[in-house]
Parts: sequence; C-alpha cells; structure tokens
Amino acid sequence: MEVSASLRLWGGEKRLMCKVIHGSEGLGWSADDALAIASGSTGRAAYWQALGLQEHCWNLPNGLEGLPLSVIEELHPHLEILARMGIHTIGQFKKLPRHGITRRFGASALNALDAAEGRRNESYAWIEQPARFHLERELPARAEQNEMIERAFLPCLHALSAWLLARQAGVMAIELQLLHDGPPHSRFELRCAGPTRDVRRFSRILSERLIRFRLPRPAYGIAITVNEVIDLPHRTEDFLGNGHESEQAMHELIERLQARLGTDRVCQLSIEDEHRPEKVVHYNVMEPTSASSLRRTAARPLHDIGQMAHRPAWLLRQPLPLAMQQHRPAYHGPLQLLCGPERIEAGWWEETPGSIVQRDYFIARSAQQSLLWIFRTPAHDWYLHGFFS
Amino acid sequence: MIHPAVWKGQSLHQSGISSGISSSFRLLDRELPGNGWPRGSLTELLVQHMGIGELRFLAPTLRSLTQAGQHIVLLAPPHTPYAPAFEAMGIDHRKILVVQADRPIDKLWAVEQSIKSNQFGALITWLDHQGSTRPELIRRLQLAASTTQGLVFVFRPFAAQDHPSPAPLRMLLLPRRYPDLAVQIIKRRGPVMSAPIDIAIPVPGSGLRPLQDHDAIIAAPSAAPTRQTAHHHAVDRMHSSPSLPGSLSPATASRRSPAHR
Repeated sequence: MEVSASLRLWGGEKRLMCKVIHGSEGLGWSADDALAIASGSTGRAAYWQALGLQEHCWNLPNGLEGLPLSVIEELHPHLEILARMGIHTIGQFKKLPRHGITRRFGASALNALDAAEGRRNESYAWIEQPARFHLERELPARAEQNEMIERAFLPCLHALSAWLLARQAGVMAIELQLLHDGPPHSRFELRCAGPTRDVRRFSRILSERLIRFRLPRPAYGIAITVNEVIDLPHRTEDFLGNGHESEQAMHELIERLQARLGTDRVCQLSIEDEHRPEKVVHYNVMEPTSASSLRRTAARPLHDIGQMAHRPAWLLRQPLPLAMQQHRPAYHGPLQLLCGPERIEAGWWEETPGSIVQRDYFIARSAQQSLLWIFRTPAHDWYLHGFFS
Repeated sequence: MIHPAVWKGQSLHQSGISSGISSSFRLLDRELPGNGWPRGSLTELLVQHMGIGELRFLAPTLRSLTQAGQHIVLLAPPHTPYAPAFEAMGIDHRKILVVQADRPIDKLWAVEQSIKSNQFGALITWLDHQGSTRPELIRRLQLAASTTQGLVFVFRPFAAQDHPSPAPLRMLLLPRRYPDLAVQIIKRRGPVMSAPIDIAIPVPGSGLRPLQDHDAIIAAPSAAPTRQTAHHHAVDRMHSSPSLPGSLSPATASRRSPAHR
C-alpha cells in the first residue's frame, strides 16, 4: 500500500499501521507489519524486517545496506557474477562506481537500486476490484450449528462491505450458500429494504434469518455472491442530523420485520381506482425496489372524498353471510338500517366467474351501537362487509 | 419541592419530561395526565364490539401525526384496513405500515423492534381476541414502550378489564346514545374518574340521505332493485364519470364529509 499521501489523514504511520492490522484481523487474516520508504523490492526488505530477519531499520536508506542483493528482483540475473566479484549485500553494490554498473548490468540495475532506496518516484497500477463479488470460504471445522455459520459469514460480510465501499455501491440482496458434502447446497438470500453496505445491517438481517433456518446437514464451507449492485455514493452528513437518517432507520425496521415474519407480512396500502370495494385496497409488499422512499407515489385524485367518508375503516376479507331475524338482517341482534342503498354494480367486463358484483350497500347499526357496512345481493341475501370503527 | 416523578393521588400526574399529544377532544385532554395521549407508554383501549367508532375516535390524533410526516404502524389488524376510509378521515394512507403477525411472540417481537427503531408516530396493535394475552407480555410491551417517543395503543376486549395490567393508562370505550362514544378512564396516574366522558365523533354517511322507508326496503324486495337500477342508469348518463353509483348522487350537493369538520 502506498500511504505517503494519506499519512496525515490517518494520524501518522503508527496509527495507520494499527488500523491496517486491526482491519485485516477482522477479515480473518493475520498480518505482519512493515513500513518502508519505497515499495517493490524495498517493500520486500521491509517484510524481511518484519519477519525478524533484520534489525529495526525504519525508512533509512542506510538500513538497506545489510540486506542481501537478492531482495532486488532486477538484479537476479546478475547475482552470480556479482557473487563472483565478492558482492553480496546492497551496501557493497552501492559502493561500485555508478557508470560502471550501467555499462556492465544496464540502466535497469541502477534504476532498481534507486527505486529500492526511494530516490525515484514510483508509480503503481491501481488495484482493480473484480466486477462481481463472489467469495468462497472453507470452514475450519464442519459446521453443525447456526452460530458457527453466522460467525463464519461475518468476515465475508466485512469483505463485501469493503468491496462495495471501493465501488461506491450498495446492495439490496445478497445470496448466501452453505456448501455441504454433496449437492444440493442450501442457499438463502438476505434482502435489504434499501441499498446499503453497512455490515451491522447485514449481520442483523443474517441473524434474524438464521433463527428461522434449520441446517439440513453439516456444512463444510460457505459462499457469498452478489449479482447486482446499486450506486450508493457517500452522502455528506447533515449538520443537524435529521435528514435521511429516519428514512434509513425505517428501511432497517422494515427489513428486520421482513427477515423474521416473511417478506409478504409487511405491507403498505395502496388505492386502486375501482368500484368493487374488495379490489380497491391493495397490500403493497414492501419490495426492496419500491421501498426506496417508502413509495412516494403522487397523490392521485381519488373519487370524491365525500364518498370515501361512507366507507368502513375495516373491510372483511370475505363478506360474512348474515342471518335474518324478524325479517331483518342480524348481527348480534337485528340491525337497523341507517342509510342507503348505494348500488355498486361492476365487474361485468371481466371474464372470470364471480367477478361480477351487484350489490346494494347500506350502513346499519347493531344493537351494540356498532356501525356496520352491509349489502344485499339481488337474491336478497344479506352480507356483512365492514365495520365503521 | 416534589420530585417530578412523584405526584399526589388526588391530582393528575403532570410529567415534565414528555407532555402528551392532544387527542383533540378538549374534555378528554383535561382528564389525561400530561393533557393528551402519553408518549412512551402503553395506552390500553378496551372495546367490546368492533365498529362503535374506536378508530374515528383516534383519527384526529393519527391525522395530525401523518400530517407531520410520521408513520403509523398497524400491527396485526383484525381486518383489511380500508385505505379510502383512512383517507376520508384525513390520514395519509401512504404513511401506514401494516404488519401481519399471528403468534403472540411474533407480535411482541415486532412491537419491540418497531419501538426500538423509534420511527413511528403511533403504533396500534390488537391483542387478546382469544383472551390469551399473559400479563408478562403486556409488561414487556410497557417496558419497551417506555423508551419511545411515539404513541402505543393496544386494543383489547372488555374482558381484559378484570385483569390487572401494567399499562399506565387504560380506558373503556363504550357506545353511548348514537352516534356518541363514551370514554371511561379506568386507570390513570391521578384520581379515579367517576363518570365517563361523552365524545362526539364524526359519523360516516352523515351526508347521505337518511333512510326513511326503512321497512319498505326490507319488506318489499322485489320492486326495489329494478327501480334502483333504472334510476342508477339515468344518473350515470348525466354524470360522465362512472365512479359514483347513482343512488347516492341526489345527496351529493349537501354532503359534508367528517374529515372537513
């Protein structure tokens, strides 16, 4: 890693080093740290140092002098000749006249030496992130409990988060796979209500999801795949802190509820332009795509708001047939009709049987003072369809 | 000086920390500790029969919450919430989140999660229709509710009034002379309330033509539909919009919706 440009941002080399080591432990790697003024071959020198082969020689050009010449890759073809000349370390090599080195070994040898000592500016190729995220890990031991799987997934989720951060993207769905000895492998999906790359959110959904999950067979490995990413640029924090956070928190709540209760159990209401009461209200499952801002649909001009005022707040899923008492429809006693009828006759344009609706609706009061929405079919059967709560 | 958490039995508890949200019924507000619905505590509403106006009673509160951009969570509602009716009460249906949960343990969990996220203006849940709610469950709900800023309402049947409940505010909603509703507070942080309060709630269909020949409709079934159908078609031709069923239209001009009162 080239860090010279960001040392101040991270508060000095020691702190940065701690951060790097800490982070790589989080990913499940063990790290040895070393710091050098130049990368490439010196980087390797620094690595030697880290392994304890060398004494402490932080970023001093002189510190390299004791190292064997083999750490400079470009000199490898010439090592034999140099050895015959009695030259084994970088220090000895440096003492040779420079023009002689150029004549004998070519300009590349000197360049490599200078680069190793940090006297030349080096340019590096950027690390390119792969376009698709797929990670497979073998578990240290066969996992028979969900907790082991959850623990194993955590570093993968961290890696995913880092990958997303580098791409400035977020995900809505992550595909997780548990690898068993033979196919089929079990797979499940984590769905978020909005694009995110927050590890805490991932792990919360994961643990909710795993509560409901039963491991069919022991798993020897895990895999994590992301097929689709969504651009998610960093947003500047609001000074007053009341901007998008509440929306974010709402998304988190929705996805937590969905993870445990099931996706279709968390809904939003929507109104269709329809005459048949049972087709007016639709449950909109909070799909990740529609949840981007708890669906801000433009308020459509609905039917006359006055008309909606004599619609009940609760609609029965199935109209309830009412018995007759004293020639009146009865629900906990005979009902008194207050107003009506309101004729609703619709659905004749649909082919499916049962879609035709021909009803006279009344508002009725029960003996318990409940207001009910009842209707009468042409066959003079009475049904209860809603409560004016 | 009395500590703010301590109050005298004969006066209402006025907690200085969080004042309530007005129920928009002046008489009721006066009887509630904090002059309104208490935030961060469980409010139990005991209703025997659905349809006596329990939601119209809460509607002004819910309306002001949705207008302030807050969400309303309906947890395990007994029937399909009919969005147009909510719109008519002035409640923005896009701000309503419906969560279905069957098992009591799931309900409790969903309530706790919602409360933890603290992202709702009001959470309404229905418990105990089989009379199976244990007091520990209510206790946990009350504990969870104490950390939120929103309102938490629990609808329970009348039978629950015989059992002690940890909810700090409990009230019975009683049908009174139609169309009013009477509210009897059976538990509050304050003195015992002797008489129920009468509350005038908006009546659905108030703009409709009242039914005069009530018995005629029931007694003479054969004639009514044909007459109605003819009428209906004639009106439909007059209105180019097909949405209004004809038999309602004579009353349209004088109609006033409860939402606009």
